[in-house]
Amino acid sequence: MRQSSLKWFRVVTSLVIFLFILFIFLDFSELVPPWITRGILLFQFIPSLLSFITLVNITTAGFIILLVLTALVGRVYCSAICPLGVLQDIILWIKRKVIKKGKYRYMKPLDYLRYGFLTLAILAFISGSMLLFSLLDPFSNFGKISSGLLRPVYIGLNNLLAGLMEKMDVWFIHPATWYPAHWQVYLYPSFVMLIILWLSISYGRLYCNTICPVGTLLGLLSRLSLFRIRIDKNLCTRCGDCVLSCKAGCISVKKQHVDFSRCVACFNCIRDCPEDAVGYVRLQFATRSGQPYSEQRRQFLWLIGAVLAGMSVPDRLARAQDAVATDKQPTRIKERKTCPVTPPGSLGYQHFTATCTACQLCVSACPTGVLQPSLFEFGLPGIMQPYMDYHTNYCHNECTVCGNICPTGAILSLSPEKKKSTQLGQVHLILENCVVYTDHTACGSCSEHCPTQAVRMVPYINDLTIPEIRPEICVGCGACEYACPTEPYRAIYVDGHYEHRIAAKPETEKREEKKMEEFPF
Amino acid sequence: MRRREFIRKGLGAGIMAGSAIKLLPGTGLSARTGTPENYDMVAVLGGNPGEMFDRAILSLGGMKNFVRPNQVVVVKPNIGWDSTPERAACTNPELVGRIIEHCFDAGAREVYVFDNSINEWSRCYQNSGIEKAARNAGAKVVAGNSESNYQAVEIKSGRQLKRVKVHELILGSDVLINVPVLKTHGGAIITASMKNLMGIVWDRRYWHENDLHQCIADMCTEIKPDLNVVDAYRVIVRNGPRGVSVEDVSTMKYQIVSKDIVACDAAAAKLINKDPERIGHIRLGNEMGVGRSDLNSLSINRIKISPA
Repeated sequence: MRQSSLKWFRVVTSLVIFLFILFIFLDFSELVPPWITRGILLFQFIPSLLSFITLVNITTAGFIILLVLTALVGRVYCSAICPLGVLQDIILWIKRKVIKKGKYRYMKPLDYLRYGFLTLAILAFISGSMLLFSLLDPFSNFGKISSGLLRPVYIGLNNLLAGLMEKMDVWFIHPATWYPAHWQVYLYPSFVMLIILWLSISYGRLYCNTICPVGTLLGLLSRLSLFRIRIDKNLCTRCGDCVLSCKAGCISVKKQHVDFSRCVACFNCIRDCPEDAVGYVRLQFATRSGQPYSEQRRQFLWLIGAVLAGMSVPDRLARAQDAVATDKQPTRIKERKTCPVTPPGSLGYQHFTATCTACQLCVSACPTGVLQPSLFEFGLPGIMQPYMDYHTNYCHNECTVCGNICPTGAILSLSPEKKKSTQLGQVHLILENCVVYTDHTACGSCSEHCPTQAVRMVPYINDLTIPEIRPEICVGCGACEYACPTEPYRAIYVDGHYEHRIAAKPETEKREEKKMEEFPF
Repeated sequence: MRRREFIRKGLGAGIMAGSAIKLLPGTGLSARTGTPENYDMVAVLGGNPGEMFDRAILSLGGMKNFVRPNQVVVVKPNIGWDSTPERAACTNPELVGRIIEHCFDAGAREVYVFDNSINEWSRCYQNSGIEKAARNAGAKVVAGNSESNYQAVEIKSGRQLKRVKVHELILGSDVLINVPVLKTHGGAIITASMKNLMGIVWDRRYWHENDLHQCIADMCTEIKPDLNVVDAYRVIVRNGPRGVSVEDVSTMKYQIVSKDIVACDAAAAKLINKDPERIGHIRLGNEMGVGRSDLNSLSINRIKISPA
């Protein structure tokens, strides 16, 4: 059993990576340092590809290593690195444990579907829409499921435990808060989870070979792999054990052939073959050139070339989603927001919506819960891309977590100093809504929360103070809007900038240090 | 029922302790005589926050007058902001630690420290230095971020605030020591002892919407700290209560200690040149009988600590 240990190597590797990725989507206490997260997520194909395009930095090019790996040994990304792939393996493992069977059979490739999804995703991306990447990227879908569906459960369990321990007067575990988004936002992750359950239980890894564009793309490349899984026709007795263990359904015992483009490199066949007839073989160039290429495949390879060329077009981003108005109208009574606020480091609406795959990692990691998946704030193409929801909470002035963990480069990493001078939007005041103006009672909640005093309280009648704004020094953190007590419309709010700006520095008076020598009473 | 018993016991013990040392407002036959241990208020100037408190509590007869053996104490500092001690948005950590030590010296069974922080709580607790100082002094540091820990309380004498959700630790403890930091405040003019009680409630939005000054005064009619210690060592003198930079902070080295929450704040206001009579919640607190804002009617021990 020469190569049979490959399976166990795959299982261990995939579980380590899977559990880590799952944990970072569940964690609310910032246990994992961002650099470790970034290091692991470097090998998520689409995030890494986007990050490379955004930053044009070779240190973000984990996808190149994935391409090289695939060209060497096939789709190990799908078996060991992709969390959605491993999730399916776990579902299949549970299924086998529960119903004590779970044999597979050969399936014909669904070429129109798989190449169709890939083509659509690439075309949409070139035309500037992230919608299909966001809906189809397996890492981002896994993120949507774990952040949207599993994290609330995790927080609930934590709070249950915290509550029990409080009863015993142990205050080591702290309760955490889950900030729910619009309920409709959770429809898509639920839908994907159902699809995954249905397809994996009924057809093994069919999802990865029909719907997933990354699987299809790597499948194209794995046709050229240097090492591939082959059946040694001299040893094979056509017992069919390999077919029964192949969750991709890509082994035909009749032809004694492995369709390596659909093989997810799980190595079960290698382990299960009683004759040791299945295993990796290094391809000889003679056999390679002898293999016929279909015209269809060739067209797709050309297409990929065209995509890579398209990516280098610098104005791709500029063409993306130009539909949002930039001018703001001063209004009375009802807040008028012309542009949603995008997270600090996202540069603005354009860059953000054209680079984010809505994987929800920042939503999971945001310590205040201000980052929420959008419904239609960015329009339908931007569904689930996170926005700054100032009715849920506000952006913590000292925090740079979202930029530090974003795997696609949609939110770039900012130093704390740079973050504090980035203006995401500007403050607007509707004095007619303000409780000081309407009720003649004190408040100051907005100014109290403001980190720069872009809203400050100035003298008003009867020893009262009333807000006054200085938008030029506002950073757009939304603390004022969050804190403003008026309903339903706030008296103070932040309207997002289409492109982020630099906030002016708040002036600092030098303090006069006078020596205290007496009591003033 | 356990909680209610605690309240009853707590209030009972508080009243006993209070009357024992004749510090309850209005009962002070000897309160104005100025003999040691009978001061209405102690004000300290100079030194460092820890030794200032040592001197202040000594002149009030020691912590044993406030904390009896085996009692459960809550020390409530201001941990509202993610800010370092130099920025003075939160209570001085050294002072918090020293108060806890005094509580244990007096025989406290347990000391809890918490605040319903305004910024993300774990950052506030950590960067203010209070979590570490409190732990080192032996206290249990508790997060105030979960609504499930807050219980509804009727404010019987409340004019605007009739009902409020208060943290169960406050309701279940015997002694409450209120340790605010003095700062200016955009809406409330100053924030000190009375306003610090906003940190033990869940829904603060209501207060801002329904006459902030009145709500602050209402709260003080129901929840009465056994001791108030106003930290005015470093004071945010403008752009409060958060401050934009350390330039907003003045090192004044004052501390005010009293059982009278209104008197504390009246004195604190004067430290930063504000007229207590023009600060709504102090005026209302006096008017509603919570405490006395006329400092001339109080016996005040003024202690100066000269630099060593």
